[in-house]
Amino acid sequence: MAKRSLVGLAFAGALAAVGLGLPAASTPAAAADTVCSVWVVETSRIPHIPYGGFMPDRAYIPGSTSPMHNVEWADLPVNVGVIKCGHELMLYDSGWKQTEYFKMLGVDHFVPIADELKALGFDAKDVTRVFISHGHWDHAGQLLDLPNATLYVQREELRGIEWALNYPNAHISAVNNTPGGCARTPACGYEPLTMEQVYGKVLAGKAVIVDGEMEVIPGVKIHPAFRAHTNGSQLLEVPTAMGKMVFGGDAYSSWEGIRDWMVANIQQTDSVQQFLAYEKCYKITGGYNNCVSAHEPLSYTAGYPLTKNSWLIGNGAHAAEVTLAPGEKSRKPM
Amino acid sequence: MRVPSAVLVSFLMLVAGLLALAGYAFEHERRATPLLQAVAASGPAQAAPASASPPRAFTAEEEAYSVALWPVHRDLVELAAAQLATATLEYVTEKHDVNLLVSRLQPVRGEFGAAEAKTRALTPPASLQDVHQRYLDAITLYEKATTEILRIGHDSDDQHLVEAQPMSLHGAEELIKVGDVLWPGEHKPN
Repeated sequence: MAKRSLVGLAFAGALAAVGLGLPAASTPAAAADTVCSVWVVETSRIPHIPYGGFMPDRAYIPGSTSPMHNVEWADLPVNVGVIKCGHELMLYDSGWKQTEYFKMLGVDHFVPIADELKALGFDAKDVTRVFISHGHWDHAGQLLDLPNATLYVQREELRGIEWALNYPNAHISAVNNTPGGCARTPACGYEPLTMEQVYGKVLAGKAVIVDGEMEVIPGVKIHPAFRAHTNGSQLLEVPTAMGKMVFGGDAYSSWEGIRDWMVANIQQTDSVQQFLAYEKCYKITGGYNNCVSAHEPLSYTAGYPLTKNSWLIGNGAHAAEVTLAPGEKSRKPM
Repeated sequence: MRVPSAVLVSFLMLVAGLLALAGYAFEHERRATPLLQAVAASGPAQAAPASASPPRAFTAEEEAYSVALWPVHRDLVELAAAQLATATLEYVTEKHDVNLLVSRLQPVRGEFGAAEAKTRALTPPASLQDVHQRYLDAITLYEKATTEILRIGHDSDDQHLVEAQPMSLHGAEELIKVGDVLWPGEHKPN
Protein backbone atom coordinates (compact mmCIF):
# COMPACT_ATOMS: atom_id res chain seq x y z
CA MET A 1 0.00 0.00 0.00
CA ALA A 2 1.40 3.38 -0.98
CA LYS A 3 1.91 5.65 2.00
CA ARG A 4 -0.48 8.54 2.20
CA SER A 5 -0.05 11.48 4.50
CA LEU A 6 -2.59 13.76 6.09
CA VAL A 7 0.05 16.02 7.53
CA GLY A 8 -0.86 18.86 5.26
CA LEU A 9 -4.59 18.74 5.82
CA ALA A 10 -5.11 21.00 8.77
CA PHE A 11 -2.18 23.12 7.77
CA ALA A 12 -3.39 23.36 4.19
CA GLY A 13 -6.70 24.53 5.55
CA ALA A 14 -4.97 27.03 7.75
CA LEU A 15 -2.88 28.29 4.88
CA ALA A 16 -5.92 28.63 2.69
CA ALA A 17 -7.64 30.73 5.31
CA VAL A 18 -4.57 32.77 5.98
CA GLY A 19 -4.32 33.28 2.26
CA LEU A 20 -7.80 34.73 2.31
CA GLY A 21 -7.30 36.58 5.55
CA LEU A 22 -3.92 38.24 5.59
CA PRO A 23 -4.10 40.10 2.29
CA ALA A 24 -7.51 41.36 3.34
CA ALA A 25 -6.07 42.56 6.62
CA SER A 26 -3.52 44.56 4.69
CA THR A 27 -6.19 46.23 2.55
CA PRO A 28 -8.36 48.18 4.98
CA ALA A 29 -10.41 49.68 2.17
CA ALA A 30 -11.75 46.22 1.39
CA ALA A 31 -12.58 45.64 5.05
CA ALA A 32 -14.38 48.94 5.25
CA ASP A 33 -16.57 47.94 2.31
CA THR A 34 -17.68 44.63 3.74
CA VAL A 35 -21.25 44.64 4.96
CA CYS A 36 -22.85 41.38 6.04
CA SER A 37 -26.42 40.27 6.63
CA VAL A 38 -27.21 38.49 9.88
CA TRP A 39 -29.95 36.17 11.05
CA VAL A 40 -30.17 34.27 14.32
CA VAL A 41 -32.02 30.96 14.50
CA GLU A 42 -33.22 29.04 17.50
CA THR A 43 -32.06 25.47 16.95
CA SER A 44 -33.74 24.24 20.12
CA ARG A 45 -34.86 25.38 23.53
CA ILE A 46 -33.76 23.69 26.74
CA PRO A 47 -36.36 24.37 29.38
CA HIS A 48 -36.48 24.51 33.12
CA ILE A 49 -32.91 25.41 33.99
CA PRO A 50 -32.72 26.82 37.53
CA TYR A 51 -32.05 30.53 37.10
CA GLY A 52 -29.33 30.52 39.73
CA GLY A 53 -27.58 27.74 37.85
CA PHE A 54 -27.54 29.92 34.76
CA MET A 55 -26.75 33.25 36.43
CA PRO A 56 -25.62 32.92 40.07
CA ASP A 57 -26.17 36.63 40.74
CA ARG A 58 -29.82 36.22 39.81
CA ALA A 59 -30.60 33.13 41.83
CA TYR A 60 -34.28 32.72 42.69
CA ILE A 61 -35.31 33.76 46.18
CA PRO A 62 -38.81 32.56 47.10
CA GLY A 63 -41.05 35.51 47.85
CA SER A 64 -38.64 38.09 46.46
CA THR A 65 -40.17 40.87 44.38
CA SER A 66 -36.82 41.96 42.99
CA PRO A 67 -36.58 41.37 39.25
CA MET A 68 -33.10 40.09 39.96
CA HIS A 69 -34.39 37.25 42.11
CA ASN A 70 -38.02 36.51 41.31
CA VAL A 71 -37.56 34.24 38.31
CA GLU A 72 -37.22 30.59 39.21
CA TRP A 73 -36.51 28.93 35.88
CA ALA A 74 -34.79 29.86 32.64
CA ASP A 75 -35.84 28.45 29.28
CA LEU A 76 -32.71 28.68 27.25
CA PRO A 77 -32.72 28.89 23.47
CA VAL A 78 -29.73 27.47 21.63
CA ASN A 79 -29.01 30.20 19.10
CA VAL A 80 -26.97 29.89 15.92
CA GLY A 81 -25.80 32.85 13.85
CA VAL A 82 -26.33 32.81 10.09
CA ILE A 83 -24.05 35.31 8.41
CA LYS A 84 -23.97 36.21 4.73
CA CYS A 85 -21.17 38.40 3.44
CA GLY A 86 -21.39 38.67 -0.34
CA HIS A 87 -21.33 35.11 -1.61
CA GLU A 88 -20.04 33.71 1.67
CA LEU A 89 -22.62 31.93 3.80
CA MET A 90 -21.27 31.27 7.29
CA LEU A 91 -22.50 29.95 10.61
CA TYR A 92 -21.44 30.87 14.09
CA ASP A 93 -22.02 27.63 16.00
CA SER A 94 -23.91 24.67 14.58
CA GLY A 95 -26.30 23.59 17.34
CA TRP A 96 -26.81 19.91 18.04
CA LYS A 97 -28.73 16.92 16.80
CA GLN A 98 -28.29 14.13 19.31
CA THR A 99 -32.00 13.46 19.18
CA GLU A 100 -31.74 10.90 21.96
CA TYR A 101 -31.26 13.81 24.33
CA PHE A 102 -34.72 15.20 23.70
CA LYS A 103 -36.33 12.97 26.26
CA MET A 104 -33.93 13.55 29.08
CA LEU A 105 -33.71 17.29 28.59
CA GLY A 106 -37.35 17.88 27.72
CA VAL A 107 -36.10 19.80 24.70
CA ASP A 108 -38.52 21.82 22.69
CA HIS A 109 -38.41 23.79 19.44
CA PHE A 110 -35.81 21.50 17.88
CA VAL A 111 -35.27 22.00 14.17
CA PRO A 112 -32.24 20.57 12.31
CA ILE A 113 -29.93 23.32 11.09
CA ALA A 114 -30.35 22.23 7.47
CA ASP A 115 -34.11 22.77 7.77
CA GLU A 116 -33.67 26.13 9.42
CA LEU A 117 -31.37 27.27 6.64
CA LYS A 118 -33.94 26.05 4.13
CA ALA A 119 -36.59 28.11 5.90
CA LEU A 120 -34.37 31.12 5.32
CA GLY A 121 -33.99 30.19 1.65
CA PHE A 122 -30.47 28.79 2.00
CA ASP A 123 -28.99 25.36 1.36
CA ALA A 124 -26.78 23.72 4.00
CA LYS A 125 -24.49 22.63 1.17
CA ASP A 126 -23.77 26.30 0.45
CA VAL A 127 -22.38 27.03 3.91
CA THR A 128 -18.73 27.86 3.33
CA ARG A 129 -17.49 28.29 6.89
CA VAL A 130 -18.63 27.32 10.35
CA PHE A 131 -17.06 28.92 13.41
CA ILE A 132 -17.66 27.04 16.61
CA SER A 133 -17.58 29.23 19.69
CA HIS A 134 -16.32 26.18 21.58
CA GLY A 135 -16.52 22.40 21.39
CA HIS A 136 -19.43 21.61 23.72
CA TRP A 137 -21.98 19.22 22.28
CA ASP A 138 -24.84 21.72 22.07
CA HIS A 139 -22.75 24.15 19.99
CA ALA A 140 -20.57 22.00 17.73
CA GLY A 141 -23.00 19.38 16.46
CA GLN A 142 -24.45 18.78 13.01
CA LEU A 143 -21.05 19.42 11.40
CA LEU A 144 -21.49 16.50 9.04
CA ASP A 145 -24.69 18.13 7.76
CA LEU A 146 -22.58 21.02 6.48
CA PRO A 147 -20.51 19.03 3.99
CA ASN A 148 -18.79 21.91 2.25
CA ALA A 149 -18.18 24.10 5.26
CA THR A 150 -14.71 24.62 6.63
CA LEU A 151 -14.63 24.38 10.42
CA TYR A 152 -12.83 27.02 12.46
CA VAL A 153 -11.85 25.95 15.98
CA GLN A 154 -9.21 27.29 18.32
CA ARG A 155 -6.14 25.12 18.88
CA GLU A 156 -6.40 26.12 22.53
CA GLU A 157 -9.84 24.50 22.70
CA LEU A 158 -8.48 21.17 21.46
CA ARG A 159 -5.54 21.41 23.83
CA GLY A 160 -7.85 22.08 26.76
CA ILE A 161 -9.85 18.94 26.04
CA GLU A 162 -6.68 16.94 25.54
CA TRP A 163 -5.29 18.14 28.85
CA ALA A 164 -8.45 17.31 30.73
CA LEU A 165 -8.87 13.84 29.26
CA ASN A 166 -5.37 12.86 30.22
CA TYR A 167 -5.50 14.22 33.73
CA PRO A 168 -4.87 11.34 36.13
CA ASN A 169 -7.92 11.91 38.26
CA ALA A 170 -11.37 10.67 37.39
CA HIS A 171 -13.13 13.77 38.63
CA ILE A 172 -11.05 16.00 36.37
CA SER A 173 -11.03 13.76 33.30
CA ALA A 174 -14.70 12.75 33.47
CA VAL A 175 -16.46 13.16 30.13
CA ASN A 176 -19.97 12.64 31.38
CA ASN A 177 -21.91 13.26 34.53
CA THR A 178 -21.02 11.21 37.52
CA PRO A 179 -24.11 11.02 39.70
CA GLY A 180 -24.40 14.50 41.08
CA GLY A 181 -22.95 15.97 37.95
CA CYS A 182 -19.62 16.94 36.47
CA ALA A 183 -21.06 19.77 34.43
CA ARG A 184 -18.36 22.21 35.41
CA THR A 185 -15.30 19.95 35.22
CA PRO A 186 -12.87 20.43 32.32
CA ALA A 187 -13.78 17.55 29.99
CA CYS A 188 -17.50 17.66 30.63
CA GLY A 189 -19.60 18.55 27.64
CA TYR A 190 -17.21 17.16 25.04
CA GLU A 191 -19.10 13.97 24.37
CA PRO A 192 -17.54 11.47 21.94
CA LEU A 193 -19.89 12.07 19.01
CA THR A 194 -19.12 15.79 18.95
CA MET A 195 -15.40 15.08 19.08
CA GLU A 196 -15.80 12.57 16.26
CA GLN A 197 -17.52 15.19 14.11
CA VAL A 198 -14.78 17.74 14.76
CA TYR A 199 -12.21 15.06 14.00
CA GLY A 200 -14.11 14.11 10.84
CA LYS A 201 -13.85 17.69 9.56
CA VAL A 202 -10.13 17.76 10.29
CA LEU A 203 -9.62 14.40 8.60
CA ALA A 204 -11.54 15.58 5.54
CA GLY A 205 -9.25 18.59 5.23
CA LYS A 206 -12.15 20.86 6.09
CA ALA A 207 -10.84 22.45 9.26
CA VAL A 208 -8.73 25.40 10.22
CA ILE A 209 -7.08 25.19 13.59
CA VAL A 210 -6.93 28.81 14.69
CA ASP A 211 -4.23 30.29 16.88
CA GLY A 212 -5.80 33.28 18.56
CA GLU A 213 -6.87 36.12 16.29
CA MET A 214 -7.60 35.75 12.60
CA GLU A 215 -9.22 37.88 9.93
CA VAL A 216 -11.10 35.33 7.87
CA ILE A 217 -12.45 37.56 5.15
CA PRO A 218 -12.22 41.34 5.09
CA GLY A 219 -13.83 42.68 8.25
CA VAL A 220 -14.83 39.27 9.63
CA LYS A 221 -12.49 38.56 12.50
CA ILE A 222 -12.05 35.81 15.03
CA HIS A 223 -11.08 36.97 18.51
CA PRO A 224 -9.87 34.55 21.16
CA ALA A 225 -11.83 34.52 24.42
CA PHE A 226 -9.84 31.87 26.19
CA ARG A 227 -11.46 30.62 29.40
CA ALA A 228 -14.40 33.02 28.97
CA HIS A 229 -16.46 29.82 28.86
CA THR A 230 -14.06 27.03 27.88
CA ASN A 231 -10.33 26.81 27.41
CA GLY A 232 -10.40 27.93 23.78
CA SER A 233 -13.62 29.91 23.35
CA GLN A 234 -13.68 32.32 20.42
CA LEU A 235 -15.73 35.36 19.38
CA LEU A 236 -16.58 36.51 15.86
CA GLU A 237 -16.68 40.14 14.75
CA VAL A 238 -18.93 40.86 11.78
CA PRO A 239 -19.40 44.20 9.96
CA THR A 240 -23.04 45.04 9.25
CA ALA A 241 -25.20 47.97 8.19
CA MET A 242 -26.02 48.60 11.86
CA GLY A 243 -22.40 48.62 12.91
CA LYS A 244 -20.09 45.90 14.05
CA MET A 245 -21.56 42.87 15.73
CA VAL A 246 -19.81 40.35 17.96
CA PHE A 247 -21.01 36.78 18.30
CA GLY A 248 -19.97 35.25 21.60
CA GLY A 249 -21.44 31.79 21.97
CA ASP A 250 -21.40 30.80 25.62
CA ALA A 251 -18.93 33.51 26.55
CA TYR A 252 -22.06 35.60 25.90
CA SER A 253 -24.64 33.15 27.21
CA SER A 254 -26.80 35.95 28.58
CA TRP A 255 -27.21 39.28 26.83
CA GLU A 256 -28.61 40.72 30.07
CA GLY A 257 -25.44 39.47 31.73
CA ILE A 258 -23.35 41.51 29.30
CA ARG A 259 -25.56 44.53 29.86
CA ASP A 260 -25.53 44.23 33.64
CA TRP A 261 -21.99 42.82 34.04
CA MET A 262 -23.04 39.52 35.53
CA VAL A 263 -21.46 36.18 34.77
CA ALA A 264 -23.55 33.49 33.09
CA ASN A 265 -23.29 29.80 32.29
CA ILE A 266 -20.15 29.15 34.27
CA GLN A 267 -18.63 25.93 33.00
CA GLN A 268 -14.90 25.79 32.37
CA THR A 269 -14.94 29.51 32.98
CA ASP A 270 -12.71 32.15 34.49
CA SER A 271 -15.13 34.93 35.43
CA VAL A 272 -12.49 37.60 34.80
CA GLN A 273 -11.99 36.28 31.27
CA GLN A 274 -15.75 36.30 30.71
CA PHE A 275 -15.86 39.96 31.72
CA LEU A 276 -12.95 40.67 29.38
CA ALA A 277 -14.95 39.01 26.60
CA TYR A 278 -17.87 41.29 27.47
CA GLU A 279 -15.54 44.26 27.39
CA LYS A 280 -14.30 43.17 23.96
CA CYS A 281 -17.84 43.57 22.63
CA TYR A 282 -18.21 47.01 24.22
CA LYS A 283 -14.90 48.05 22.65
CA ILE A 284 -15.64 46.69 19.20
CA THR A 285 -19.30 47.67 18.93
CA GLY A 286 -19.46 50.70 21.22
CA GLY A 287 -21.94 49.14 23.65
CA TYR A 288 -23.83 45.98 24.45
CA ASN A 289 -26.70 46.07 21.97
CA ASN A 290 -24.77 44.35 19.19
CA CYS A 291 -23.43 41.49 21.31
CA VAL A 292 -25.00 38.26 20.06
CA SER A 293 -25.85 35.81 22.82
CA ALA A 294 -26.17 32.04 22.55
CA HIS A 295 -28.73 31.39 25.30
CA GLU A 296 -30.42 34.69 26.19
CA PRO A 297 -33.86 33.71 27.55
CA LEU A 298 -35.33 36.94 26.14
CA SER A 299 -34.31 36.03 22.60
CA TYR A 300 -36.96 36.67 19.93
CA THR A 301 -38.76 39.23 22.08
CA ALA A 302 -38.48 42.97 22.42
CA GLY A 303 -36.56 42.28 25.62
CA TYR A 304 -33.51 41.45 23.50
CA PRO A 305 -33.85 44.14 20.83
CA LEU A 306 -31.33 42.66 18.39
CA THR A 307 -33.58 39.62 17.93
CA LYS A 308 -37.03 41.22 18.15
CA ASN A 309 -37.70 41.09 14.39
CA SER A 310 -38.58 37.43 14.67
CA TRP A 311 -40.97 34.84 13.34
CA LEU A 312 -41.68 31.15 13.75
CA ILE A 313 -39.86 28.83 11.37
CA GLY A 314 -41.21 25.48 12.49
CA ASN A 315 -41.76 23.35 15.56
CA GLY A 316 -42.09 26.46 17.67
CA ALA A 317 -38.55 27.58 16.84
CA HIS A 318 -37.84 31.19 15.97
CA ALA A 319 -35.66 33.03 13.53
CA ALA A 320 -34.74 36.69 13.75
CA GLU A 321 -33.71 38.88 10.87
CA VAL A 322 -31.16 41.07 12.56
CA THR A 323 -29.78 43.18 9.71
CA LEU A 324 -29.58 43.11 5.94
CA ALA A 325 -26.73 44.25 3.74
CA PRO A 326 -27.68 46.64 0.95
CA GLY A 327 -29.39 44.66 -1.81
CA GLU A 328 -29.96 41.58 0.34
CA LYS A 329 -33.55 40.39 0.30
CA SER A 330 -35.54 39.87 3.46
CA ARG A 331 -36.06 36.25 4.46
CA LYS A 332 -38.93 37.06 6.79
CA PRO A 333 -42.31 36.02 5.40
CA MET A 334 -44.58 38.96 4.60
CA MET B 1 -89.09 50.06 28.85
CA ARG B 2 -87.68 52.66 26.58
CA VAL B 3 -84.42 54.12 27.88
CA PRO B 4 -83.91 57.81 27.09
CA SER B 5 -81.19 58.13 24.46
CA ALA B 6 -79.10 60.66 26.47
CA VAL B 7 -78.94 58.25 29.42
CA LEU B 8 -78.02 55.39 27.13
CA VAL B 9 -75.22 57.39 25.53
CA SER B 10 -73.89 58.42 28.94
CA PHE B 11 -73.98 54.82 30.13
CA LEU B 12 -72.14 53.59 27.05
CA MET B 13 -69.53 56.32 27.44
CA LEU B 14 -69.03 55.32 31.07
CA VAL B 15 -68.59 51.68 30.10
CA ALA B 16 -66.14 52.63 27.36
CA GLY B 17 -64.19 54.79 29.80
CA LEU B 18 -64.01 52.03 32.36
CA LEU B 19 -62.84 49.58 29.70
CA ALA B 20 -60.15 52.01 28.55
CA LEU B 21 -59.02 52.51 32.15
CA ALA B 22 -58.91 48.79 32.75
CA GLY B 23 -56.91 48.31 29.55
CA TYR B 24 -54.43 50.99 30.58
CA ALA B 25 -54.07 49.49 34.04
CA PHE B 26 -53.50 46.05 32.56
CA GLU B 27 -50.88 47.34 30.16
CA HIS B 28 -49.19 49.29 32.95
CA GLU B 29 -49.02 46.24 35.16
CA ARG B 30 -47.85 44.09 32.28
CA ARG B 31 -44.99 46.48 31.55
CA ALA B 32 -44.12 46.67 35.21
CA THR B 33 -43.76 42.90 35.31
CA PRO B 34 -40.15 41.82 35.10
CA LEU B 35 -39.30 41.00 31.53
CA LEU B 36 -38.42 37.43 32.26
CA GLN B 37 -41.74 36.86 33.94
CA ALA B 38 -43.47 38.41 30.99
CA VAL B 39 -41.65 36.08 28.67
CA ALA B 40 -42.53 33.13 30.83
CA ALA B 41 -46.15 34.16 31.01
CA SER B 42 -46.87 35.07 27.44
CA GLY B 43 -45.52 35.93 24.04
CA PRO B 44 -44.25 34.00 21.08
CA ALA B 45 -41.03 32.91 22.74
CA GLN B 46 -42.85 31.28 25.62
CA ALA B 47 -41.18 27.99 26.29
CA ALA B 48 -43.61 25.15 26.45
CA PRO B 49 -43.44 23.14 29.63
CA ALA B 50 -41.19 20.15 29.36
CA SER B 51 -43.18 18.00 26.99
CA ALA B 52 -41.31 14.81 27.62
CA SER B 53 -43.00 12.29 29.82
CA PRO B 54 -40.68 10.72 32.37
CA PRO B 55 -39.29 7.38 31.28
CA ARG B 56 -40.68 4.20 32.80
CA ALA B 57 -38.97 3.40 36.07
CA PHE B 58 -36.47 0.58 35.88
CA THR B 59 -37.20 -2.74 37.52
CA ALA B 60 -34.76 -3.81 40.21
CA GLU B 61 -32.92 -6.04 37.71
CA GLU B 62 -32.70 -3.27 35.13
CA GLU B 63 -31.48 -0.81 37.72
CA ALA B 64 -28.82 -3.24 38.92
CA TYR B 65 -27.59 -3.72 35.35
CA SER B 66 -27.51 0.02 34.70
CA VAL B 67 -25.59 0.65 37.93
CA ALA B 68 -23.12 -2.16 37.17
CA LEU B 69 -22.39 -0.90 33.65
CA TRP B 70 -22.09 2.77 34.64
CA PRO B 71 -18.47 2.61 35.93
CA VAL B 72 -17.45 0.81 32.73
CA HIS B 73 -19.08 3.53 30.67
CA ARG B 74 -17.86 6.45 32.77
CA ASP B 75 -14.31 5.34 33.56
CA LEU B 76 -13.38 3.35 30.47
CA VAL B 77 -15.53 3.69 27.37
CA GLU B 78 -16.32 7.39 27.13
CA LEU B 79 -12.89 8.40 28.32
CA ALA B 80 -11.19 6.06 25.84
CA ALA B 81 -13.51 7.22 23.05
CA ALA B 82 -12.67 10.84 23.70
CA GLN B 83 -8.96 10.02 23.98
CA LEU B 84 -9.10 8.23 20.62
CA ALA B 85 -10.54 11.36 19.00
CA THR B 86 -8.14 13.79 20.65
CA ALA B 87 -5.04 11.67 20.07
CA THR B 88 -5.79 11.42 16.37
CA LEU B 89 -6.70 15.11 16.24
CA GLU B 90 -3.36 15.95 17.80
CA TYR B 91 -1.61 13.67 15.32
CA VAL B 92 -3.18 15.39 12.32
CA THR B 93 -3.10 18.97 13.56
CA GLU B 94 0.00 19.19 15.69
CA LYS B 95 2.81 16.69 15.85
CA HIS B 96 2.30 14.07 13.17
CA ASP B 97 4.41 11.75 15.24
CA VAL B 98 3.56 8.11 14.47
CA ASN B 99 5.37 6.75 17.48
CA LEU B 100 3.60 9.16 19.81
CA LEU B 101 0.23 8.28 18.31
CA VAL B 102 0.89 4.57 18.71
CA SER B 103 2.11 4.98 22.27
CA ARG B 104 -1.05 6.88 23.14
CA LEU B 105 -3.47 4.55 21.43
CA GLN B 106 -2.13 1.27 22.76
CA PRO B 107 -3.51 1.93 26.24
CA VAL B 108 -6.73 3.19 24.68
CA ARG B 109 -7.16 -0.13 22.90
CA GLY B 110 -6.49 -1.83 26.23
CA GLU B 111 -9.23 0.24 27.84
CA PHE B 112 -11.71 -0.79 25.17
CA GLY B 113 -10.64 -4.42 25.64
CA ALA B 114 -11.10 -4.18 29.39
CA ALA B 115 -14.48 -2.53 28.91
CA GLU B 116 -15.59 -5.29 26.56
CA ALA B 117 -14.55 -7.98 29.04
CA LYS B 118 -16.32 -6.27 31.93
CA THR B 119 -19.46 -5.75 29.88
CA ARG B 120 -19.53 -9.37 28.71
CA ALA B 121 -19.28 -10.45 32.34
CA LEU B 122 -22.57 -8.75 33.10
CA THR B 123 -25.88 -10.53 32.68
CA PRO B 124 -28.56 -8.14 31.51
CA PRO B 125 -32.24 -8.73 32.19
CA ALA B 126 -34.14 -9.89 29.13
CA SER B 127 -35.64 -6.43 28.66
CA LEU B 128 -32.17 -4.93 28.22
CA GLN B 129 -30.62 -7.67 26.14
CA ASP B 130 -30.77 -5.51 23.00
CA VAL B 131 -29.22 -2.56 24.83
CA HIS B 132 -26.49 -4.82 26.18
CA GLN B 133 -25.70 -6.14 22.70
CA ARG B 134 -25.74 -2.65 21.26
CA TYR B 135 -23.26 -1.50 23.85
CA LEU B 136 -20.96 -4.41 23.08
CA ASP B 137 -21.23 -3.59 19.36
CA ALA B 138 -20.26 0.01 20.05
CA ILE B 139 -17.19 -1.07 22.01
CA THR B 140 -16.27 -3.49 19.23
CA LEU B 141 -16.50 -0.70 16.68
CA TYR B 142 -14.16 1.42 18.77
CA GLU B 143 -11.74 -1.47 19.24
CA LYS B 144 -11.68 -2.09 15.50
CA ALA B 145 -11.14 1.59 14.79
CA THR B 146 -8.26 1.73 17.26
CA THR B 147 -6.68 -1.40 15.83
CA GLU B 148 -6.97 0.03 12.33
CA ILE B 149 -5.25 3.26 13.34
CA LEU B 150 -2.50 1.36 15.16
CA ARG B 151 -1.53 -0.24 11.84
CA ILE B 152 0.02 3.12 11.07
CA GLY B 153 2.85 1.96 13.31
CA HIS B 154 3.77 -0.65 10.68
CA ASP B 155 3.53 1.32 7.47
CA SER B 156 3.10 5.02 8.42
CA ASP B 157 0.12 5.19 6.09
CA ASP B 158 -2.37 7.85 7.20
CA GLN B 159 -5.11 6.13 5.20
CA HIS B 160 -5.68 3.96 8.27
CA LEU B 161 -7.12 7.03 10.00
CA VAL B 162 -9.55 7.59 7.15
CA GLU B 163 -10.68 3.97 7.20
CA ALA B 164 -11.09 3.96 10.98
CA GLN B 165 -13.13 7.13 11.32
CA PRO B 166 -16.52 5.79 10.13
CA MET B 167 -16.20 3.01 12.70
CA SER B 168 -15.52 5.31 15.62
CA LEU B 169 -18.19 7.73 14.42
CA HIS B 170 -20.74 4.91 14.36
CA GLY B 171 -19.57 3.76 17.77
CA ALA B 172 -20.13 7.27 19.14
CA GLU B 173 -23.66 7.33 17.74
CA GLU B 174 -24.41 3.99 19.36
CA LEU B 175 -23.08 5.11 22.73
CA ILE B 176 -25.56 7.97 22.78
CA LYS B 177 -28.46 5.64 22.02
CA VAL B 178 -27.53 3.27 24.81
CA GLY B 179 -26.78 6.10 27.21
CA ASP B 180 -30.21 7.54 26.56
CA VAL B 181 -31.81 4.33 27.83
CA LEU B 182 -29.53 3.57 30.75
CA TRP B 183 -28.27 6.94 31.98
CA PRO B 184 -30.49 9.76 30.75
CA GLY B 185 -28.91 13.03 31.80
CA GLU B 186 -25.32 11.87 31.53
CA HIS B 187 -24.60 14.89 29.32
CA LYS B 188 -26.25 18.02 30.56
CA PRO B 189 -26.51 21.24 28.55
CA ASN B 190 -23.26 23.14 28.51
